[in-house]
Amino acid sequence: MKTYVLKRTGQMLLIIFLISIFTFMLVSLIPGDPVYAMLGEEVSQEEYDRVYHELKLDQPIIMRYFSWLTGAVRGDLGQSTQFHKPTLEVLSERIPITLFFSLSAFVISIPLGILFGVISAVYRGKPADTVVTLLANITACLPQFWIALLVMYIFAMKLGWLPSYGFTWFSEDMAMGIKQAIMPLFCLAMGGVATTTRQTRSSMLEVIRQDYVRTARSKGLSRKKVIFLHALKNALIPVITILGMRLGSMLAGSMFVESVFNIPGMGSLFVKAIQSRDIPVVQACVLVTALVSCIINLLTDILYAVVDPRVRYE
Amino acid sequence: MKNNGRWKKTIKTLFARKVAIFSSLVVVLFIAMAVFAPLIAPYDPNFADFAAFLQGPSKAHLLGTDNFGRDVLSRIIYGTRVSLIIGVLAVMIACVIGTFFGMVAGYFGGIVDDVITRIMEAIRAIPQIILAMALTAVFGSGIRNLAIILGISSMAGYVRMMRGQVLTIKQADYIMAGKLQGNKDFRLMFKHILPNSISPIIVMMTQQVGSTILAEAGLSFLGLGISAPTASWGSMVSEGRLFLLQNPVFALVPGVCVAVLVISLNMFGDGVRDALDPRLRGEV
Repeated sequence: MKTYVLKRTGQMLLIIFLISIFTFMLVSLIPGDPVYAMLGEEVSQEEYDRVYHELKLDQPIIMRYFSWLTGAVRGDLGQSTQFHKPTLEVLSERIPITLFFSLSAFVISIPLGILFGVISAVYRGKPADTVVTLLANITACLPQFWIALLVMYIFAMKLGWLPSYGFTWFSEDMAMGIKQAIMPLFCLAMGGVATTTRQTRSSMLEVIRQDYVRTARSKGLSRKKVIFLHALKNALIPVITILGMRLGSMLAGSMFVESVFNIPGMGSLFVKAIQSRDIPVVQACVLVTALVSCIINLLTDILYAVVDPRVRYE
Repeated sequence: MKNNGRWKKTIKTLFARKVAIFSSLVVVLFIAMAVFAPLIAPYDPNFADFAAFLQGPSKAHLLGTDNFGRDVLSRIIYGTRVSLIIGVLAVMIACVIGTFFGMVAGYFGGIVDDVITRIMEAIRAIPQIILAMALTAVFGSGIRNLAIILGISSMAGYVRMMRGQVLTIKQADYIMAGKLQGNKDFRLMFKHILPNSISPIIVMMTQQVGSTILAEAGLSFLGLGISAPTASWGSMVSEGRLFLLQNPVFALVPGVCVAVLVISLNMFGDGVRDALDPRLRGEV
């Protein structure tokens, strides 16, 4: 187990290294002069020189990469060109909000998805299965931003039950915070519920057909016991693999949800940064997202190896 | 033409199912809408009727008008073009690049495989839409750039799938025989390995068109994809959200179109998968 964890961690570090190269290259990939691209054509010579020097464009690319990397490791990701503040400062106010939404939606959607998946697998072919599968399939294809707009139209504009935008930490105003979080969380969680349902259903169906499930039933164990103790336990193994990806897509989904509900998180910051070509912030957002999803992937891999010992010996 | 029988059987299995027939009909309908847009659309999609801002559905404008007085229905019809063109182009780009690298990685193995696999893992570690967004920051948007960007950001799946395919096929006797005959590596790859992996490639392509269209709509919604005045479903939703109270149809219907097209494409893709995979034939 120890060697497995070490090996996976090593691979993750390599991947993070590759991502750091890609992220750094974003500046160099800009066609034409990156300074003009970032600041516009009407930039003063002074400003131009300052940014040119700040991006270290007068140095060879390898030197630039290493000085950028050492800066990034120390938490210096450069100066945001739109906020005129250090990138890390801009990001540190926003990351907790995005993490709050992504993690809460993740925690809400996984158990629900597993529950629906089990229901539709156990009642395969019955109306319950048809309804669950149909809803899951449709939900997985709905654009998230569209769901967000629809619930906003219904619950905020037409019914007036919920505020249509904004974000308040629960510690500041509990009631307002909850009201504002309901719709964004619902939109984020929906996609997660749909994919987890589909995955659980298909792996449950596979497991239910196995000999040991039949043996357990013929031994006289109750249906409930067999489903939850024997079948589900094994059916969840493939579900674990999608957990890592789910959190990644929650982070991606928060771009849309934050943009619709005007939530000051990393997603809306990322969109603004791209529109104004604030490359240091774009780099930082990509790096943070990749880092979070790498860590989650590593954790799911380890979890996978814990529940399924076969993985360790491959 | 030894494969004729196999393809016939596949198509027969595919269309033996109502779901596949229905979904392919919907897809064909959308394709027809895209191709014949100038004939079907009641108005020019960019014609601004300044006398009719944000009107609700009426006889003259079935889905009402937008904030510039443009006919929403006509813009939706023209928007089909953008979605389908980008969806298909991006999938083709992803498929060609991904299949090539996957084949090379699986065939040569060793360091080549290691390098390609690690790079692809790094690409997969960044959620697709975020990678695509970062690339639009650099390359800008527009139909051509979006197709390339979405293609690049979704190619890792093909690499993985193709690599796995090659690793299995490589063991076959006929590849060894081909090698012993003195065939060149690339000839073996393109003449023997590629044709034998065509089914999973087709399955993956049909299943990816939908998610690519969804990604394009998302990017355009965020203002990073197709920009005004070109009509695209994502940007229509984005423009319409400011006028939800005046004409909700303007923002909501383009989203429904995205959903219907993507659902049909995915159902069709599932049908193709079931028809091409002998293990799944006949099962739900």
